[in-house]
Amino acid sequence: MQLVIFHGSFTDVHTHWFPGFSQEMTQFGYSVLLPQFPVNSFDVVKPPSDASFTPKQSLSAWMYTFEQDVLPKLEKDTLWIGHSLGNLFMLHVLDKHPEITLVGAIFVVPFYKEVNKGSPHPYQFDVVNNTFYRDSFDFPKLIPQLNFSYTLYSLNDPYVPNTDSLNFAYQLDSTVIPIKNGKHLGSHLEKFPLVEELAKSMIDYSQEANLVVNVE
Amino acid sequence: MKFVIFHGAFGSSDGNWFPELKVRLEELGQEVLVPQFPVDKWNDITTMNETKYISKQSLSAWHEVFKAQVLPFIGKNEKVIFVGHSLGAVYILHAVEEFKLQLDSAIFVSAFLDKLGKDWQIDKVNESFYKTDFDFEDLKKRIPTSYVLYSDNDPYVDKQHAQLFSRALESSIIFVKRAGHMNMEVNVNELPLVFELCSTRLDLSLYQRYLKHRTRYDAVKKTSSGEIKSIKFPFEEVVDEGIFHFRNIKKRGFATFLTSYDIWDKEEKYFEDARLAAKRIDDFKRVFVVESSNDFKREKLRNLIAKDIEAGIKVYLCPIESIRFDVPYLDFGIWDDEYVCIVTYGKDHNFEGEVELNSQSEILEKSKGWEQLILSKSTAITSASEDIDKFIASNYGKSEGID
Repeated sequence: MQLVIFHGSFTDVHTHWFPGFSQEMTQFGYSVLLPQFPVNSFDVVKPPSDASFTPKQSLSAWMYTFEQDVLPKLEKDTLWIGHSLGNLFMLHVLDKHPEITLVGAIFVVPFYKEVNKGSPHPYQFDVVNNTFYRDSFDFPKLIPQLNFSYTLYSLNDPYVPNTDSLNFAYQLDSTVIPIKNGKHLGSHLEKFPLVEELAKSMIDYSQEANLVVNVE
Repeated sequence: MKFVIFHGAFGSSDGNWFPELKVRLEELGQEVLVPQFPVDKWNDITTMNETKYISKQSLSAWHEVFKAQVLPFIGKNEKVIFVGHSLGAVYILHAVEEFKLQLDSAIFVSAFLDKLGKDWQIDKVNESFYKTDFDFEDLKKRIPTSYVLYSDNDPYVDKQHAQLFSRALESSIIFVKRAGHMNMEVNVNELPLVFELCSTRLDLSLYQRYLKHRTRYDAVKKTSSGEIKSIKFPFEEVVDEGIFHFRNIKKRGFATFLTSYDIWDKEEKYFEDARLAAKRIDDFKRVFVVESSNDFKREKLRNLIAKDIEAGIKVYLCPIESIRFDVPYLDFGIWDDEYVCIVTYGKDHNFEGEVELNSQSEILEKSKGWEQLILSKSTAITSASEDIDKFIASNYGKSEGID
């Protein structure tokens, strides 16, 4: 069984809960792919008016990395976990590659379009996320590809409004799990045991807990 | 938060994953009740005629226990989470309706509303509980957040039952692949997923979040209610604790540093995270407890102090002689006034020592007293060169000063 993690904008895969999570799951015998997609550092991003600046982070650059580094390594049984923009990118991948079917997906603080549209928020996000924004997917086609999915969102997320994550979940028929005091469920966490447990449950709980399996 | 865990038919309050869940929640300072409701014995009912057997387990008998034990426990206007297994799930709906309760949330494991149609014994004892015509609109307001966990190889409850339950209550549905009835029969003696779901509802303190973050420690002090107030772990894990508190403190930090302990010199990430924390919070003090003026000949120590000052940490120097006999632990930190972290070293200042985290209020107050005493004997500095040299000159005289 394989787990693939899709990080978000401005994110180094060696930060957040990704290394801690990977370590725990590897100990359980899963293989974990933790690709690094091209990102910019927050400080170098120029306002949208500055035409001289082209962000390294773009949908096509991420798709290239996926097709080069991840696609050849994909196993038949694969469970995908996304954080922030990584969730939206997962949908782009599944849309482009209808042959991929997942064991399941866990979306952590997902959204489709610019968050807090119309209200002031740092331009840096939109500059690097712009090519990803999309909310018009073929959902009836995507839902079976996902198989079973969870959407985790945080009641005090400073970036992603709950309504955006809830709408994401609604379109994809995804089970929602609200989390108190979770902030952006990102860099302040060193582990994410809830995601570990959800992943184990979707894969085969009897193996994890040494269950007696001949109950039927 | 208060938790009540409801067992199922033929069930026991000390069965399945209930004791484990209770202990883990109590360790984080939560109050947990696991009442025993009247149940039948499988053999008693099996040897009797189905029509003649009078079941001990009935809705009214369970309501009696609820009135006697659960109502006094949950009190009024308390935040409450109910966790039910099997029959316990539908019973929660009966109880919420009957006693007009308002819950924070509920977790239903292997849930059903109506007749299971597998073993006549089960349907017989559950008969008075089966109900599909609850006022779900009202229940949804009383249980605004809920989860239904089901498994695809549950021998007693087909998945349609869980789906009906979750649709009726608009619960978030959670699929646990191949976990049977999620009970002792299949070795589910702990169910960390339920614990994690409970945790999503809690406002944990910094100390409690660290307890949850760690998986290995010796619990040193537990209160009578099971809450862990103090833990110990080996010294080599002190950096993990440090990085955790630096990432999470919100209000203030205070720490001492013994200048002769050069084993810290290599822990760059630890100090880097401390400086990031200092940028986030206003009140971060570090007192360098000076054992010998020769310590300042170590370039790394001077660099450390310079970087701390630059990052906004309020840096002090304190001669060890002025506090040695009044402060029992010279290496400690106080984080957000929630707990004190005390480090004791092995011989030769090596990593064979021990770390204790203590959140008992009397220990916290004591350690704040040590902090005050240390600060009263300390000199604040704002440069890593001149101020240190001045400190050495005034405390150790010119003869011992650096070259």
